[in-house]
Amino acid sequence: MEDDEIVELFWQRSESAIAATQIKYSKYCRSIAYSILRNYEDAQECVNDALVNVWNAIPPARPSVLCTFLGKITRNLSINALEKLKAQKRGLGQVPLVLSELDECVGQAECEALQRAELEAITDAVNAFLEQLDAEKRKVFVRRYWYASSLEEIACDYSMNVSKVKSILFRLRKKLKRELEKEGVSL
Amino acid sequence: MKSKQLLLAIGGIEDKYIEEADLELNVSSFKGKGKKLMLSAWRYAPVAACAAIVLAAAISAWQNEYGLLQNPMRPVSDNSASIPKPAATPAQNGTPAENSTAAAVQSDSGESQLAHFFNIGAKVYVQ
Repeated sequence: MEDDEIVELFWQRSESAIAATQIKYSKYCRSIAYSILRNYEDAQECVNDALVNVWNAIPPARPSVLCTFLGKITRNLSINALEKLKAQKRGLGQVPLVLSELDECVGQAECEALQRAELEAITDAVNAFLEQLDAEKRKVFVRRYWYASSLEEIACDYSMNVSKVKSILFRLRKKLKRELEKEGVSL
Repeated sequence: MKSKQLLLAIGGIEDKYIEEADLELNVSSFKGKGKKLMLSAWRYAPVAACAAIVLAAAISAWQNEYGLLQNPMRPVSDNSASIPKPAATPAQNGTPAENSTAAAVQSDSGESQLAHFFNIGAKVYVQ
């Protein structure tokens, strides 16, 4: 089934949209979640959460590329899940909870808006940076920092050795830092 | 915290870049895996070659020992005595060295083929 048809099913609030999405993109989403979490059960849980989020987001959203829309949601959920898991492992299970409770006192809406604006500025700078790069370096960068693929996986997929991937990423990080400073983004 | 901000910001990059480096759709990923398999297969090529040489040598030694396959270069057996010999041609009536060579090849002394040729070579050299 084509992406447009699946999106249309979401707009009609048809549950077959979830099944169609699952058939077409569950493997893709699971690979993203697994790259971040390195645990099959947690990855599967994130994929299920992502499908629920997509169900809630469409409508009003009408994504032009359903694949990346799903991917972004899965990635964000996986990063959040990873943070929670890390906190639990460290025995700091209550601290994130306490912080989230305190967030209510800090004027959350303003804070979130500010953070979102900052993130958008950084994203624009990163997009400008990626635009300058040649395709190979851009793919390596995205595979590492968007898909969270391991160095070995990237080396294997792009027929390079691991040391070359490392050196490309090292130069790209330096360049990104310079670009962000030039754009006036403070991190 | 700053690196997390950057990680989240990278999460919002344009779709075209995400699609370009897609995990599954990218054809190069399959090429790469194929190449890796090829490389790992070639790693065992010297071992396989050595094993083939050893196996060939072992089979050859086994055949020499038990004579399971008739080697055309082996000395003719005594059964050949029952077969009438053709009349000697002028070409066969050669020098004494040539005659001794033929005799050596036809003898069934049980010596190895290498020893036969060594003896023949030595006789020719002496003459």
